[in-house]
Amino acid sequence: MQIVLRGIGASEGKAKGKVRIIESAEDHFKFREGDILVTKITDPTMTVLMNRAAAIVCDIGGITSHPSIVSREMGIPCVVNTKEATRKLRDGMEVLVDGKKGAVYLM
Amino acid sequence: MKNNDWLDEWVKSTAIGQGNMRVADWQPFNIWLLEPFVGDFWVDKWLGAIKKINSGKMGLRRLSKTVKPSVWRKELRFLMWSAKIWGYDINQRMEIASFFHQMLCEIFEEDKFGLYSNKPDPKSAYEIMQLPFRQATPELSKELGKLSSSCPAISWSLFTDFYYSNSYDIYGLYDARDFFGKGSALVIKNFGPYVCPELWPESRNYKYNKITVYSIHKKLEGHFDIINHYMGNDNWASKMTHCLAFVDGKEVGSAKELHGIQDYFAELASEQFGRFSDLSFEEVKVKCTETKWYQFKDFFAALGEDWRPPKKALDRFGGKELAKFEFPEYKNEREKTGYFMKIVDPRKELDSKTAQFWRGWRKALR
Repeated sequence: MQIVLRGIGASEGKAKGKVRIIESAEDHFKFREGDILVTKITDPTMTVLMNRAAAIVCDIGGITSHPSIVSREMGIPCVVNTKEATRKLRDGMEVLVDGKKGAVYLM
Repeated sequence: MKNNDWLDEWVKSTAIGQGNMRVADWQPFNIWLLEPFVGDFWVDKWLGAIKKINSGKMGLRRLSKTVKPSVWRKELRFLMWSAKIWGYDINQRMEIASFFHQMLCEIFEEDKFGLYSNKPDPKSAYEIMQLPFRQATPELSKELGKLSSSCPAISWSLFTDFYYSNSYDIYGLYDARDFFGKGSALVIKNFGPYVCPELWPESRNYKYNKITVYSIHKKLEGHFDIINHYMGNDNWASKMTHCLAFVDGKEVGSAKELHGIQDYFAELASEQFGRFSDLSFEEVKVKCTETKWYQFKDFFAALGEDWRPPKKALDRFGGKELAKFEFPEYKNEREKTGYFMKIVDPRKELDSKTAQFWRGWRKALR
């Protein structure tokens, strides 16, 4: 496995899945149960997607940001502050998110 | 605590809590730059309220309960910021800070400023531990986790990223070893009230208003800070052993029913956030200010006053951009905490560079 991103591990756990980059509400239709939600930073419009995501990866944010709080509640891994997740990752890529190490690996 | 030890503790806790956040990531903007526009109106309202309380016979305990504990803790930093920007003297700042301290003393027995916990009313918490909890199955934990994801989203959409504690307060970690074994802790989540027609008339039609979740977790590592943020990266769902959820006072114990409720909230959050996002910049400034003042609606009602900001306060930022003040670039966390300690400490003045900026800003406002 090749490491593609490092950030802040905001919620422990590991999860594998397909990357879905979400920029706006128009992207919601492409999101499937168990996908990896990749976005600049989550907002409340993404709650439905977050509830279906296997993990969350964000460009910005810290340990007290919205995605971090929510992912800990749901028990799914979360990595924030990767700076370039939405630029480096592409829809459909198979990745492993490690919320403890704050790392994203390409499968 | 002797003398002003409490002030040292409050300043430290607030600066750490503020330091835990990334102001640059706040949406839709950095609220520290809007607060000063109506800061003098806000400070005057508080000084007037304190005078009224001191001259009357109002029960402090009753007043303290009109506002959510985390709201009391979080608001004082903004009051101190505005008081310094608008030139209120140290006595006036201390008067406000002391009053907030009094309110927190009525609510908390220990750790009043949330350095490492958020535990109001431990006696009630002890009674809650004796309720007939349900065993947390994977399905229940999952649905409660999702509910705890959807509920804050509503709070953010209704009350913004800055004032959401009005409907989102989490208490803990209460030691629950007496009833659930060593390493067990109780967490109390209070979501809502969401119905706030004064701010959002649409909320009148919401199906649910208040959610309470009691959960027992084993070996949860971390603590709450003054902002009511959980500092730790533990998975709450996987460490949940027992739970109990109430929706508008009625217990909801099935995963299926919880799923329906959390689904409703998730959709509602999206809809409400869309409504907020559709506001113009001018409307957002007004909404943020009204939301801030709304947090103290019941407090001011108890004093026989209206909670709303006066029109002349709102008119002050009409057509204006946010203040162009830039927070310093901190070399490290210690420097960042130190900067905020100076800002919030009522005994200290702003540093000369910061003070100079705001003097110029006030002059330009006239």
